[in-house]
This record gives sequence, structure tokens and C-alpha cells, in this order.
Amino acid sequence: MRTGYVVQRILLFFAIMWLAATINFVLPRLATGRDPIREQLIAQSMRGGFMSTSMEVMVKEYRVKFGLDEPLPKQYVTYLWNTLRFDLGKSLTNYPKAVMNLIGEALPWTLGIVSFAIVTSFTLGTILGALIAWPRAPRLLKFTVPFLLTFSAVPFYILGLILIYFFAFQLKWFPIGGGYPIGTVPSFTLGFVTKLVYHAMLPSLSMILASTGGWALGMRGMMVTIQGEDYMNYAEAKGLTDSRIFFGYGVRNAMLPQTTGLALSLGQLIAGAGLVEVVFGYPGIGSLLGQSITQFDYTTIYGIVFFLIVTLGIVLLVLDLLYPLIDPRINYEQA
Amino acid sequence: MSADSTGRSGVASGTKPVLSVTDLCVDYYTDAGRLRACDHVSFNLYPGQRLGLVGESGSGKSTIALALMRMIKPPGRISGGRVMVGDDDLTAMSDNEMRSARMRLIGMVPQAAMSALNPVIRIRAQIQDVLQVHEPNLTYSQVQARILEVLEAVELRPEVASLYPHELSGGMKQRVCIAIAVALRPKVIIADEPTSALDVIVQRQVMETIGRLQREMNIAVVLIGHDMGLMAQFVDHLAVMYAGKLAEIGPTPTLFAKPNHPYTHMLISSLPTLGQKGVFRGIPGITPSLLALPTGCYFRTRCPYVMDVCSSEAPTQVAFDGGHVASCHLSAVPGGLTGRVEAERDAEATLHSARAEKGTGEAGPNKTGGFS
Ligand SMILES: Nc1ncnc2c1ncn2[C@@H]1O[C@H](COP(=O)(O)OP(=O)(O)O)[C@@H](O)[C@H]1O
Ligand code: SF4
Ligand SMILES: [Mg+2]
Repeated sequence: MRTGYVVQRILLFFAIMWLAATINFVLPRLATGRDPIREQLIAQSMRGGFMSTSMEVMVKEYRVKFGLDEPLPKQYVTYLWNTLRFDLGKSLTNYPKAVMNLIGEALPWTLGIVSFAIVTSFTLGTILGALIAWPRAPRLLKFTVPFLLTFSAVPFYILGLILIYFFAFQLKWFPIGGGYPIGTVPSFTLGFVTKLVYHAMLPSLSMILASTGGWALGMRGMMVTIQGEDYMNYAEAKGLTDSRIFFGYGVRNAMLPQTTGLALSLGQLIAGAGLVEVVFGYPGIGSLLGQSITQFDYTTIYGIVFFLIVTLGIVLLVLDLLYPLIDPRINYEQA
Repeated sequence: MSADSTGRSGVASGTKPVLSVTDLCVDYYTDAGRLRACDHVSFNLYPGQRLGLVGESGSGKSTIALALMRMIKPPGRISGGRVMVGDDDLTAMSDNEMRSARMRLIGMVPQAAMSALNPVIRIRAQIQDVLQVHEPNLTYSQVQARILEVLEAVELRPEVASLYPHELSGGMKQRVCIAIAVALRPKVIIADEPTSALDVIVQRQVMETIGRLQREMNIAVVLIGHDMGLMAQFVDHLAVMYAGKLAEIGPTPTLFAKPNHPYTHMLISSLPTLGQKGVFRGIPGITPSLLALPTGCYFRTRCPYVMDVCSSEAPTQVAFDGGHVASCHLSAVPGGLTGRVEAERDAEATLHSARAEKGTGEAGPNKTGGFS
């Protein structure tokens, strides 16, 4: 039954989260070659210009602070409990700042441009693809196919670099990078919001340009296939209007695989978005991850990875729960 | 020559045909060349008549059905002829006028009932959209009432309206399609092998429903099928197609009693009868490809009565009494097809008795009739 399916799907979500958390716990502890704490302390003391003789004492002290002196099972339980409370530990580089706080600061930036870019490119690509495949749509649309093919073949970040070169560096229409002008203080004034949007334009555009083509081509293929279906011919025999056949019969049915495609490529889209942020120096999760990697900030790296897994898990859960609503043939008992 | 008198039997003189097809031609432009899947087809259908259209697979039956709906898709094209429904000339209509004529003037029951319904929307919405597009003035409650009305007409429970196609059996889906076809009470309905995907028992029930609605609403029906025996029980007129042409058309009893085209004759004698049950006697030879048709009569490669003229001249349509039309050169020969069949039967009987006298079991040289 419906509720059974929902409960089952939610349980599956938690099982995946537990697995992700466990891998996140085990992986750093398997990396015996390197000791992030010692490396951090050495790096910091070198920056300070002197070598502390009591290095070993400090390492020990930090190990206690991070709970690394405890027996492994106890560490594991503490870790799971903390994770459950969204406590992903403290950053090594920005100690004592909590990883969750770092993520919290970066999240709105990413959420803003990524959700905007995904929603826009998915909608745009889907409509465009459907129209290209529609025999009674304007011929002109068919000429967009080569461009779509080209753009869909170029990775996000390369497109980003090209856009920066032409529109920011050469034409100077847009800023070269950043989330807002250096020297301004974030506030909720119209002036600042305008600047925010202005800065978000190029990174969003590079993501939209890079992924619209893919959605359009996928949708076009689906629509072509669906036009051979018996129910499309029958819809025409019913004397329905073109728009009713296009939306109610064609697009409505082609949306099913298109939505599955969205769910499947979500992880890839988020990874691509991360690279775009790095290219544009945009202060989101992608840039935070980039920084953490260069600075060996292990707790933050693992925190972000885990956070991304959870986000992806939630989005897929929602899509899965919504899917039966758009495809009535999904059998709840079998799902 | 057009078959103007076609189907006039039993119809008061002066009655206008509800469907009038004249010299309808449909061409498909394939890589291998142009082929004519519907070649100067002409017939009239009068109010309340049931016309059966039979012929082997590939003879152009579905092509005619699609051409009547003006739904021939590229690489195909209606290349000539005229289709009138009452006083409306479908072939002269604009695309939008034709769209509005579909299901309203001329209904269709699809061949692929199993997959003809939109899988993701409820039955109610699929009946509703056809009502709303053709009768935009209906109020919401009127539409809902009409939906229940047509479902009842095809013997479906009202709850079916809330179901999705995958929750229906094949027979129920076909009933929904019939409900949609009669929802706007068109003058003509074309049903392209409406029961071919159903099992025998359901086939009967669905046919009975079509028959009952046809009587009650006085709709004229063109029923397409390949099973001549099944068809004969249901229709009052039969049209036999061969290689895109109408070989013969006429009232069912007349066609069975006195066929005037060898192909019709062979189809009838190939039907299994109670006497020789189980022995299906097919028609020897293969259908010629529409891309490489023989000269003269298209049937001459398989015709047991072929004459010299058959390879040089295409036969024209010849009208007989009671709206009976056939295209065969035998019509010009004294005695016609019947004479030839009887002569052959006599010869065979003579041979048999001669053999019985001699007491030999050897087969005579003339025994092959082409359909034994
Ligand atoms: N879309 C098409 N393209 C090319 N040829 C076609 C097409 N549709 C039908 N034909 C040809 O037209 C002929 C008649 O087909 P059809 O009307 O489907 O016959 P039937 O319904 O009697 O089996 C066939 O020989 C077929 O090869
Ligand atoms: S015209 Fe000739 S070949 Fe054709 S059916 Fe008649 S007798 Fe046979
Ligand atoms: Mg057919």
C-alpha cells in the first residue's frame, strides 16, 4: 500500500545515511600514513616562525580535544550521535569554528545559484526539446540543435572560463568573480541585492548553458519516440487541439523519463556546480570544499561530503515519493 | 468508372449517402519508390448501414481508414479523390475544420485498443477532452453527466471514469474507445479491426455492443477486418480489397451467393465449414508487392481463370443488380465467373465418374483448380 511504500522508502533513506556516516567515520581512520593534527600544528607553527619543543604535548592535547584518544567503538557511537545532531565536528584550519557553521555560511550562495540554474535549465531544456521534436512547431527551432549539442558537450567549468574571458575580462560586462563586490557589507538593501544578482549571473549562465542542451536533447528523443505511440495517433483522431495533444499527451508522457533523468544526474550537476564556484571564486559550498582540500582541512572535507550525500539523499527521496503522482502505473506493492 | 450504385439495396431511392468516397487514392513515397496503397477506391455508405472491409494484410484497409480521417502521415499522401460525409467535403476542409470534424462527423475506433489510451491520465479526462473540444459550450456538470451516459452505453460502470488505463482489461479499454467514438453521435464510425487484440469471447461481446449502439443511434459503420467469416455475420455489405483496389463490393448475401470476382469466390470457399472442419484451405500464391504490381489485373498472378486480356488491360468496375460491383474481365464473358466455376465443377465430376469406371486412383491432369 501507499503508506507501506513511503515508510519503506524513508527507512531506505536512513539506511543510506547511516552507511554514508559510517564510511565517513572509517575512511579517515584508515589513512594511517598522515596525521592531519600534526600536519596542521606544524604548518601553523611554521607560519608562526618557531618550532615548539612541546609539539608532542600539543598533539596529545588536541587528540583529546577531538576525542581521538578514546577506544574506536566509543568514538563511533559519539560520532553517530553528533552526526544525528548535525554536529560535523570542528574545522582544523578555522579551529574552533564548527564545520556545520562553515557549511551554513556557504550554503545560501550555492543553493541560490544551483537551484536557480537547475530549475531554469531543466524547464528551458525540456520545453525546447519538446518543441524541436514537434512537427508543427516553428522550423527555426530545429537550427538550435547543433548549438545545443555543442554546449551539452562542453563541461561546466570550461564554459565558465570561456564566459569569464569574454564577458568579464574582455567586455567587462560582468565581474570576474566573487559573490559580491569586495568592500561591501552584506545587507538586505535593494542596492546590495542587485549586486548579488549581478555577481550570480555569469556562474548561473555557465551552468544553464552547459546543461540546457542535455535536457533539450533528451526530451527531444523522448518526444520523437512518443509521437510514434498509439495514444498520440488516437489523440489526433479524437480531434483534440494541437496544444492539448502537445502538453496533455506528448509532454505529459515524455516528462516521466525526463524526471528520472533529473534524479539520476543530480549528483553530477552538484559536482559540476562545485567546480563552477571554484572557477568564479563564488563563496559557496564548492569553493569551501576547494579551499578545504588545498588546506588539508579534513574535518571540513568529510563534513561537506557527508552533507552533500544527505542533500542528494533527501532530493532523491522527495523525487521518489513524487514519482507515483506523475506516473500512475508505478506499483506501490512492488516498489 | 465509379461505383455509384454501390450499396443502394434496401435503401429508399433518393436517400443520400452518409459517406461517399470517390476515386480515393493514397500514395506512400518509400525509398524503393512510390506505392499506391489505395487505388481509386469508391463506395457509398447509407444511413444505418454496416459495411465490412476485408482483405489480406497489406491490402490497404488501414490506409483507407486513415485517409477517411485525413490522418495519412508522411511519407504518405492522399493523392486524389473525394470523401464526403453528408454534405461536408472532408477533402476540401482546412486542417482546423478537419480537426473539428474528427469524432464529430466521423468517429474512429482504433485498431490498437490496448495502447490507444493515454497511460497517465484517468478515463474521465480522456472522455472529457473530446467532449470539451467539440462542444465547448457544455457546462462542467453537463460534461460529467455525458461521461457517465456514454460509459453506461458501452456497459461500463461509472467507477471506471476514475480509473487509469492500466487498471482496465483489454475489453474494457476497447469499450472506452467505443464510448469516445459515439460520444458526439457522429454519422459514420470507422472501426479498424476493433477486436483483433481481444480474445474470442470478449470479441463477441464487444462486437455486440458496437452492433447495438449502431442500431440505437443509427450510425453507419465501416468495419475493417481480415476474417471474412466473422465479418459476414455482422455486416450487411462487404467490400473486398486486393492490392489497394476494391475487387468487389455488394450486399453480403449476394456476395456469398454469387460472387463476381475470383478473389471473393476463393475467400468464401476457403472459409472452414462444418462439413470439413479444421481444414483451412488458404489461397495459393503470394500477394504481389505494391512496388512491383503485375500489368493488367493485379490478381492475375493468382487467378485460376486468368485470360489473355487480363495481362494487358486492367479490369474496370462493372455494376450488377442491387448495388453489386466487381472489377474483373470475366464480367464481360458470357456466363461470367459462375459459368466458369460450374464448368470446372462439371469437368471435375466427369473426371471423377470416369475414374470410378476405370477403377484407377490416379489424379487427372486438370485437377488443380488453384484453391484446392
Ligand atoms: N507509413 C508507411 N510507409 C510506407 N508504406 C506504408 C506505410 N503505411 C502503409 N504502407 C504500405 O501500404 C500498404 C497498405 O498498408 P495497410 O493500409 O496498413 O494495410 P492493411 O491495413 O490492409 O494491412 C502496405 O503494403 C504497406 O506496405
Ligand atoms: S480480371 Fe482476369 S485475372 Fe483478374 S480476376 Fe478477373 S479473370 Fe482473374
Ligand atoms: Mg491494418
